[in-house]
Amino acid sequence: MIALLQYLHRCFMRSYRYGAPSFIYLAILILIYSSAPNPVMGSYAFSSSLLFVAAAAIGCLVMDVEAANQEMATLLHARSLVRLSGAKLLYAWIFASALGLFAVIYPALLGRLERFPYMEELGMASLYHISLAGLGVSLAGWFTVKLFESRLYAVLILCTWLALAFGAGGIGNALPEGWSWMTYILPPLQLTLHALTFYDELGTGGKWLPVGAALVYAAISAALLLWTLHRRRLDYPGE
Amino acid sequence: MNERIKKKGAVDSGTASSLIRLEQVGKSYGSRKVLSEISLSLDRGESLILRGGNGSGKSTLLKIVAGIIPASSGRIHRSSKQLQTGYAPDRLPKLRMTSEEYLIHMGRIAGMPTAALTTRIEELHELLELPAHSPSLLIHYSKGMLQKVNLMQACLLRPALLLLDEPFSGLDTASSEKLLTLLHGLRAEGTAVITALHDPLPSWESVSTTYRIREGQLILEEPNTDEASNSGSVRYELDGLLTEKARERLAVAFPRVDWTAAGNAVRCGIPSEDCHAFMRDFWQAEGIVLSLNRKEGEV
Repeated sequence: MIALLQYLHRCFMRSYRYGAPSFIYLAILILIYSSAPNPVMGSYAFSSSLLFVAAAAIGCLVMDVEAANQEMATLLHARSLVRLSGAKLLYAWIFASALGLFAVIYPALLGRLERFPYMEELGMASLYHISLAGLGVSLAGWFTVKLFESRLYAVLILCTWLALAFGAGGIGNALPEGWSWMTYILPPLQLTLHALTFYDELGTGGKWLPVGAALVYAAISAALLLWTLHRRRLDYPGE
Repeated sequence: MNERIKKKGAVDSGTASSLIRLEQVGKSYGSRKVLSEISLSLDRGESLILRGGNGSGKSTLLKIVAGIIPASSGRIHRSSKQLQTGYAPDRLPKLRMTSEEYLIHMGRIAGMPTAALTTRIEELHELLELPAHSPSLLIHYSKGMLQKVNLMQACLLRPALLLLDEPFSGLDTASSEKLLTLLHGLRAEGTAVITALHDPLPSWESVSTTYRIREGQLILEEPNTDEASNSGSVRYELDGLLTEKARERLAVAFPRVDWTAAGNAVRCGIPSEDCHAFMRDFWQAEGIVLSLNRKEGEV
């Protein structure tokens, strides 16, 4: 697995595919924190939702970082598509988590917040960012050329799915009575945003629930994705 | 090395001890049937050539054998779940890595020990005449150089089963001969090789069983049968230069070869079964090959 992660890191770095999502993400953060002071957890709510989108973009790019022919050769060396695809998801998660940690530490260290965050706040904010990074990556893995004939359609459907995740609360309210359970199918992004917005009013369970929900959702999504890829192998729909 | 392996009388389902065995394997994309009812088996040290036109399903069959894509129907039996398989696709994408970096990554992913990997990379670079420690990235490599790296990654682990998709594409004559040496060596060590080929390659054909994929079916090419030679179904047409004296000698040695000559320029129609021996004598007589083409279904 370490050998695969090293290889993917070299491929991703030298492909410069990380450039656009990372640059846009970092630029928005720097722009937002150019004015101070900012509320502590409210700021982290914004940066975690931004990271969720950036992680999805990074997940898409990492999953398709290899050309089809190279992926076949790598698969034969790795001897398992689950291992290879799992390594890609893991690498994308690590990369997106690093961006998330930057979003937590940068404003704190540079004094862009209304006060220096408590250690507990820093720790929980880091966990919220890391869990949402995993959630974004695990969703993005589904929307690549491995499962969609057209990259454009894949990206459009991913954007729709991300938008639905942001609007889950409103969708739940708009649904007829008895149908609100449908919002549980959507990624639990709103739980994290709610916890960060109302952080001081929540008990311990309420603070940890979003982390657990995001990680469980991401794990189920990733496991289903790997199972699907294992069944299809590299039989791309475009062929 | 030149001994001909025993040809199969038909596309059989092989034995239980086969390295890999395909039973009635088919592949469809929607309503388009690419392969149907493919049955074959491959033992250690055996080599097999797949021929067929563009889009006939050669690459698809190689990918199915490699386990890269699933078959739509039929069964595939491997001698071991961990059957070490090397695969060289028809072309390698241009990566931003040196050939050494790339091969180190592939070897590490495959779990090769560092010392053995380093030695093997040096050995393969030397064999295929590519500088091992070149700082040039693969994006700056020519088609032939990339193809060498592609073949090196496939042969890195001395696989039990080697699958090559147009391996000679883009290689110059000297490199082709080096690759042939490598393949003959691997085969002698027990590696089974399946090669998808377009161009004639007498030296490799002489030790291989050749199949043709036509309309999704796998058809055994049997150049040794009387039927094949009488009908002239597979012949080679050689354009070259040869002295008159040598021509007379070869005409006596190979009475079934058709000759057309103008001065030293010759055109020879060679039956498939004579091709290997004829070419050896042609080069020994210091003949110059201008072109060599495979002809089918022509008398």
